[in-house]
Amino acid sequence: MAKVFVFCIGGTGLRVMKSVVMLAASGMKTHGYDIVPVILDPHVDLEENTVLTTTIGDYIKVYNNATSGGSAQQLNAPEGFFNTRIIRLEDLDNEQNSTSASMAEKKSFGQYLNVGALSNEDVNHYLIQTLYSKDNLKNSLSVGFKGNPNVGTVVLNEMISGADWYDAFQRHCEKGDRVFIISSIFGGTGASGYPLLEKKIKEDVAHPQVQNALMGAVTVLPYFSLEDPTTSGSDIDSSNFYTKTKAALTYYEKSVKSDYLYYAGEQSLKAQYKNNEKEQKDKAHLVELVAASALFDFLERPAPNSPQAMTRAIRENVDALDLNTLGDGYKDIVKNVANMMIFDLLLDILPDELQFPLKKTRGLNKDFYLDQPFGSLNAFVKQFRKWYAELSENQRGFAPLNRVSKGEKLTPIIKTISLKAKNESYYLLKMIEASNKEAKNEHGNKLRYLLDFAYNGITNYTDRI
Amino acid sequence: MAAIATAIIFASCTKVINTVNDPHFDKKGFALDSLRASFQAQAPSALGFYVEVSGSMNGFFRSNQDTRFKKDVWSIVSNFGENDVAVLSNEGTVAGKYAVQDFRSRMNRGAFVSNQETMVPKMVNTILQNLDYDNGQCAVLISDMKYSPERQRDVKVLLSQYQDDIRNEIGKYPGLAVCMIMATSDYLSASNKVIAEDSPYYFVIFGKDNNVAFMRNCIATLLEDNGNFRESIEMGFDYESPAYSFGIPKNALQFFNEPTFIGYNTDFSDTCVVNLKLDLTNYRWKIADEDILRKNLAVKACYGSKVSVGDINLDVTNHFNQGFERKASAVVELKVYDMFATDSDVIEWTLNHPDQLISNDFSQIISCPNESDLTGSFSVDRFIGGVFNAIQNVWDKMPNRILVSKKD
Amino acid sequence: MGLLDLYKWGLPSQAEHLNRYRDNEPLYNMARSFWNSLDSASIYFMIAFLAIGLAIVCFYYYGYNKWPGRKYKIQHWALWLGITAALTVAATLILGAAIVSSNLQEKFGFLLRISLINSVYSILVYFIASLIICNIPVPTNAYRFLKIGK
Repeated sequence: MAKVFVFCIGGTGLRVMKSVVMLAASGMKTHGYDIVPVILDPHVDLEENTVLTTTIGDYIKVYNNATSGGSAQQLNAPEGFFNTRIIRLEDLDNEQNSTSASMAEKKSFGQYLNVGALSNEDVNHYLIQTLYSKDNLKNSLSVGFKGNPNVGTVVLNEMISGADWYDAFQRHCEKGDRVFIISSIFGGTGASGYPLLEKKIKEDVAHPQVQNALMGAVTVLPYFSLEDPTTSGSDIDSSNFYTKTKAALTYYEKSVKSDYLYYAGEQSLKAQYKNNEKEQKDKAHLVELVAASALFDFLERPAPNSPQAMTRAIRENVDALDLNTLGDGYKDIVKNVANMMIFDLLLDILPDELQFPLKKTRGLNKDFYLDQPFGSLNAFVKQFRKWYAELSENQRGFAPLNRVSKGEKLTPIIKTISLKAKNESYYLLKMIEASNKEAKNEHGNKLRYLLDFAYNGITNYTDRI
Repeated sequence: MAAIATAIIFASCTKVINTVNDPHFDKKGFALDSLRASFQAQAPSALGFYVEVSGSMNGFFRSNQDTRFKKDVWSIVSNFGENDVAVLSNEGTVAGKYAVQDFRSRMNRGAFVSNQETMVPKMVNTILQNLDYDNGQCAVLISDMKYSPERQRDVKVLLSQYQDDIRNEIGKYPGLAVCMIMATSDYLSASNKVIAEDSPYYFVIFGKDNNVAFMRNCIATLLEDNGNFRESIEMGFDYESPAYSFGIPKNALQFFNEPTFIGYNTDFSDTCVVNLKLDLTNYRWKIADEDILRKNLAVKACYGSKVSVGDINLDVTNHFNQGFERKASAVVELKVYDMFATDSDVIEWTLNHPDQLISNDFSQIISCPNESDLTGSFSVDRFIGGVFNAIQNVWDKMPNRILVSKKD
Repeated sequence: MGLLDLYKWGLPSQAEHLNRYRDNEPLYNMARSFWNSLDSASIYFMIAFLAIGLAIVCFYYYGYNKWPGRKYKIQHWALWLGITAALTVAATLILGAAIVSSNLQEKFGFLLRISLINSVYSILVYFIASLIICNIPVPTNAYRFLKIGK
């Protein structure tokens, strides 16, 4: 199967990638492409990095459980939930190719540049003073480039060349594979990394399949502000995000080589996050979701005659967006998110359904619910729920769903639309019907049965979106 | 499910009552023989009365004298509506026909006293020639039936040939039935003295057997009501098969409305009693007699059990529902016992109708040798013999069957 | 042909029934006629419990369970079992009143007993049919709680 190498640069890249994983889990189609995430973030201590790595790991675990057919047999990917294969680069190679490890630098920028070796009279010394502040030079590279693309540019270039992960990418990139780069334009790591990486790939004449791979990218424009750095003691100042954005856009206009370049951002910085360069514990945001949707959009497009710039809008400028105010273009996303949230409801109910027919016919019994495959799935879906909660509660929230608790009516689960299913028993019934339509125990993978029949049952009602 | 239902039905249907596999019943006990017709009396479509007025009848017809004859004749003749009464001449032909009231006044005032001969064969010929019995017509001849062709030169020869003459006459009419009812009356001399208290005379009924039976019952009832009925004899009847039903059995239960009795429990009692109810209404009155019935009811068990006739209870009335209708029935106990070898048996029974079922008195009267004997009926035996030579009584001699089974 | 034997265990025997009227021939004949009528009608009673039992069990497994609302739960199965019994009693009473003609006082009592026996049979039919359905490879949305083995 063809692959799409998704390079996630910087903190924004990580957050957008998380949205990609969540959308893939909910059933968004990648049109036959396996996703190979490549995380490029020197911010090794970033919890989000760990979280994303864990999330990807959890996804892969569920996917493997769902496609295991017993003995040597491997099942096709599920039709709905988790229908996309995500492979880590190291799994392709079976080697340790941790991008972060080779990218991690515990030096300060000044130490990296070996500024100390320059004499005060050296013209380079004056150049460095012109380009970089004392603070820039003192900053530790292990926390990224703190919204300073001028710093990131210098360091990343050296980091990309000769990196193991880049070698692995070169080795595994085949004809027909695609490349997608996720970065922010206002940050440090992302803003600098994207053009460097793009250039590297496009000039890789030694590897034509790399050079000629259809390339897309999403660059995330500013969408949040940070607390006043003077009060938080941070080095990052969100007030100059737009300035940096303009500077970067000017550069992109002339130099960017991607076939499809997506822009996603906010016109007003509504969300305000804590200014903590070490943690960056920012909640999931609509813009990240929109940026993530760019990947799926890219994967269904053919090679264009000339580079295309893409963006997407919302219909109405409101704080909490639903299907109406989002617009028709978001139907797919809303539907998939709704599917997953309904699935979450069902996963809460099913273990207590002692007389559910699939207990007898498909083995979805007490042992199954206590076993690891279900546990992994349930844990992942709970993460999805948390991710959606963050999205819906954020400023400019993505909130197309109503909060529905166990036992409540489900017809208004999606705002502005009334579904025919009044309660969970409707979905359970459709699951049973889906199970009856399928041949008896083709493969014996109980988790797979659960995923397939649940998806079938849920989309029976949500397909009207 | 179909299998369970089939099993239940199969279990029920294979229940065997007829364990001896008698060919006249199926396994479940239903009778296979078709229902047979039974003899039914039927009112005639038309009726003709003939009165013989020979010299021997004068004692009954004395002018303005009350005789039992006049009373009975009027009672009978007037009972059936306004039928004309024909008076037969010396030649045996119809001398005159009178309306009922006219006949009555003539009879009462002695207009029929005469010195005519009694030419019975000719009378019979006259009557039968005009009788459309196939279409339900009946004729009733009132006569003392004493053949006295005294004015004929060959009287003795005629008398010796009388029986054959009657045989020949009756024999011309296939399907004809004849019934003779004997009544008695006081007989008066010319000076109106009673010279015989019980002088016999006859009502001879001609027609199809079911019409004759109807008339027989009516006439005999009227005579009996007046105390003057003595005897009756009939010929040319087809008694067919008797009409019957069953009463409450003992130690068994009737199976639906079949002649089948199930649940005979030998542990409860050795004997099973089937109460056979025979309808005797349309048969000769003589059959409604316990001794005669017992003698003429043949019963037998076919597969080794024993059967005997127990009590017979007769119920006879000539005025059923206080009307003018005869009802006669007999409830006969058929006792079945000693059923050892088999679990069921078939009882065959037949009701016979012997011809010469007459009393000694009647026999003596009809064979009276002396024509002038007013207590006898000279030559009637020859008349009866002649009729019997021509026509006989028949009946369905095929036995009726009853299945008795220990199964239920 | 009658199937009154099916109801033997809940009814007096024919001999017991008739013996009460032994001294009254018209009533005896009425009683006998009534018994024969019941015997003839028993095939229809049997058809009634078979048909109702089978129809309702098929409706439960292949019709009712197509509706949402967790109809697959055993409580619903039990509810329809009860309905089967009640319907059978009613149907048998109506059938009996229509088919069996008699002026005998005991008619209603007999019919009621037969109706109750019929309801027992219909419950049996319902149960056995459920057992079969739970174990055959014909799809149903109901919970196969009577499935034997895994």
